[in-house]
Amino acid sequence: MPMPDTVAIVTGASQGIGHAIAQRLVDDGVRLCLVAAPNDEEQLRTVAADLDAIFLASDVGDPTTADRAVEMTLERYGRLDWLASNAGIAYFEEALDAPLEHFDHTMHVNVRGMYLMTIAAARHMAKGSGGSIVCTASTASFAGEEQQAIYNISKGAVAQLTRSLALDLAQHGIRVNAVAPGWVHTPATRQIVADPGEWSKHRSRIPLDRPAEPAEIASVVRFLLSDEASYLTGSIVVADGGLTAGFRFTDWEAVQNPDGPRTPSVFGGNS
Amino acid sequence: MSGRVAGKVALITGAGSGIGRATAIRLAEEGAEVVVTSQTAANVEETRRLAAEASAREVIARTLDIADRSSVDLVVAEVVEQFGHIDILSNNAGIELVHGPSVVETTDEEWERVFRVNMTGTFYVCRAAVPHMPSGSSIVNMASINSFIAWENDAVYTATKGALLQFTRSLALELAPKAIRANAVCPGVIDTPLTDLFLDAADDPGALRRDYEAASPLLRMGTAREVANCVVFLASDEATFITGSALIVDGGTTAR
Repeated sequence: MPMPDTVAIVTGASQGIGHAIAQRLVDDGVRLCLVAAPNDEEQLRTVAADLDAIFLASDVGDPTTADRAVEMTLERYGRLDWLASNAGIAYFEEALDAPLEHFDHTMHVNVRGMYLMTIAAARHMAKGSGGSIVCTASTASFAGEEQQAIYNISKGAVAQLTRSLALDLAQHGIRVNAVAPGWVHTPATRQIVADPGEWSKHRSRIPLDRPAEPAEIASVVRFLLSDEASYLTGSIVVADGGLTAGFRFTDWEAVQNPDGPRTPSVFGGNS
Repeated sequence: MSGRVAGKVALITGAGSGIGRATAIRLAEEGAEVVVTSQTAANVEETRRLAAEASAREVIARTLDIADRSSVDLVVAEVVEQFGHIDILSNNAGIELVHGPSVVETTDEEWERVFRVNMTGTFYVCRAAVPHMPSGSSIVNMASINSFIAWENDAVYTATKGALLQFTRSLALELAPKAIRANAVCPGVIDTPLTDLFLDAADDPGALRRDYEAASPLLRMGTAREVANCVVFLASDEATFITGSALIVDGGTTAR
């Protein structure tokens, strides 16, 4: 096979935002190594086959996973240019109900996993001509949100990881940025988005009056990874439909669209 | 990638030099119908020529001081008459006091002039253009890292850029129900003619240039084109879920 021009690792690639990132990069001719948790192996295998990518179903919080992913990528494609460090998990629960195991599990994946993957990729990129890394942060990196204290703590750490590694890796020609999505229509949020009582609380705070589709986050990642973003490093790009741009009361009517009904268009486009 | 804003009508203010000019060229390259304005006739004519050359399409140029409300209304009306609507509004017109007065040294006239152009003028353009922007359009205001941090002896500029970011967020909330997005690009130190003015005015231009370069961990100033790329991105359908956001393009300057 001919050597590809651009090769990327995408973690958390079996579903949701990670899957959309992988799909977008393949559409643009990038060759991929996909990583996801062992529990998602079957799904990951299907996605990888579909995208003609190599894959590794392994825990990102385990240091051997990141090293193995880099190794596999180099063996198969001979290079590594980009990393979309995206794997993350979330528990939705009252702070006082959350067991310590949920804290440990979230930190293990969202913080330790992201740190290990980013460092392993950067270590290789630093030996060559540099590279570009995009972490998946969250609006929870900046703002509190109810019933996800542990998740918010972990995403705060991702923002600092992005800024700090951007500084240390600049000298190696490696840019590190993050996308900070708000609500996105993914398997992880499906239950909340599908529950009208739960969802109305969140929806009323989103000026665009809908969750993002995963592809709308993937396009931000694609921009940040590319040379179009050559003067961006340490930046965290918020893609939240206006969620954190302002405050409004929770019974605020986000959309008063005289042209169409509200309810059926919740998941659709904004036209 | 090309054609990312194909067929969209773009009005670009402050297009006579630097970031505004680069933005006009990039939007034209990506397929937009481009109207450029600047208060300096010769500059905007040169941008028109460059954007037309880069895109092999016709580009319209107008001389405009955005601090003059009736001129703003006239130019917007002219664009609407020509194209029927505006899809992309890129506000770049802005000024800065090159002699760097302290707060105490700043005169009434200086304070008011910088606010009139950077903030009031941008408000005039947005107010005039928004009624002609359809669902799916995008406003991109050129703010600054000074929207977040301050330099010494640059208080009025810093105040206007802070105001401009908050104005942009307000606009984003108001326009979201119409599915119009509004965002700010916040550049760090960019190698533009405006930056050259500061270098020329310095006692030791070489030392100031090194300071500017060292402000970024990438150890260089950004180019106008690198900032223009951010405007193209925010204006395009790649950024459909981004509104009320500040896109910082500063080579890491404010990450520390």
